[in-house]
Amino acid sequence: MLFSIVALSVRGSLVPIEWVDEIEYYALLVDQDTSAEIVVVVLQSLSGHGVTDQEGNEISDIVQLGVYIFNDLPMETYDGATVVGIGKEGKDNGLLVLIAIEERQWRIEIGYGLEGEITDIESNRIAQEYLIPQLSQGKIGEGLYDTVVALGQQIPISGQTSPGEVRGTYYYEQELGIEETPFRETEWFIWLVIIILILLGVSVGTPVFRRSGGRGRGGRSGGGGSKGRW
Amino acid sequence: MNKLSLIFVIIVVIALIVGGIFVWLYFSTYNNVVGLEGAADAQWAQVEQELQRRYDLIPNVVNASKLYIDYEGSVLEEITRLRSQWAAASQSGNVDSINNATGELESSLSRLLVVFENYPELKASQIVGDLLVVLEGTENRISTERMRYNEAVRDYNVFIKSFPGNFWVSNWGFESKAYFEAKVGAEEPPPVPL
Repeated sequence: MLFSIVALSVRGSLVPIEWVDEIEYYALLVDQDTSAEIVVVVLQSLSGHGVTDQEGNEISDIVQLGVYIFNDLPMETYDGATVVGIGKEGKDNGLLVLIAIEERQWRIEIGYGLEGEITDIESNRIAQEYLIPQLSQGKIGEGLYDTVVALGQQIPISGQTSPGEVRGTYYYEQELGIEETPFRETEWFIWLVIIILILLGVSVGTPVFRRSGGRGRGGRSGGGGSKGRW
Repeated sequence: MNKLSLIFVIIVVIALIVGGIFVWLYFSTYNNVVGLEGAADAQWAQVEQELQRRYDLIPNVVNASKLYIDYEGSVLEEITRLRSQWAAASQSGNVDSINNATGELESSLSRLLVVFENYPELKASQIVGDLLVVLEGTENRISTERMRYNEAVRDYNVFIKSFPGNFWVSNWGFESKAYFEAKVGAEEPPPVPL
């Protein structure tokens, strides 16, 4: 499934640009110091965002949407590369803060590797203390920034990230996913057989194939965290 | 004579190439089936781990609730009973009975959450509030891992039924796997009021 993200063009329309910069800068520091990645996604609404599941239906449940964004949505990094999965591969140390403004819903999704540092209860308390009160007053930028800082302070400093691993983009607004042709392994297999039959000889020594790479793989999550309304 | 032997050589070379492709296809198909089955089994272990998490959590929820809703004890008793039933099903390892027991447990948990709605002092309690957050997190984890298990099973089932796996897979002893679907009406995790 290939998506293209049209996020940066509308940057700053939902959250004041100075708060976007503050959030990005703090997340960058967290990445450099702890190698953990905190990504903030702000949606105007849970409908019309264009992020779809494998059957092509738009995901309207905030938990499922969070899981999908965390694990399956290709996201651009500052150097133009694309990474799937928030956090570092193998460490699974990612955090996602997702809010939908119209529905007044929030979701904090925690990567497998941080479930011990930030329990569901702690993520809920952070949201109750920093996110909900400020969102209720319409201070979306401050609320998100304070929440990101409170979450970041829970992450122990361990191992620094090498410059090449820093994502550099941690804030997305109203992502729009455009689905292209699904690419199934079985179909690929059949095409591969056909191509081999055509090319004969040339392909005999081909090693057993694997799913094609091309994009960087990041961390994973499994639905941990908390959610609510404001 | 020269022409005949040339044709013979070409036929032998083509036969070798086709034979080689066949052997390669055979082994790579086998390796793929093994890999897909392993992925589905590993994902099933994740599902079981999260179901176990819920199993361990239920006594805490029941005990904390007892302090506040003593005269609605029947819901709590039912949950405790269904929890034991789920444990028995889990021990048996039968996917169908695990599906049923999980579905019943989920619907009784959602009934408990409706009961909670009627007790504002219960929701105001710090302990119960935290337990609800944990219960909700557990339910979300279960549905996430369950979805991934079903995706892994689908990949596996599709592979063994498509060409060329369908020729060989049954001889190798691989069978299609059952999806993990809790009973109808219980696919959604219980809504947790906050």
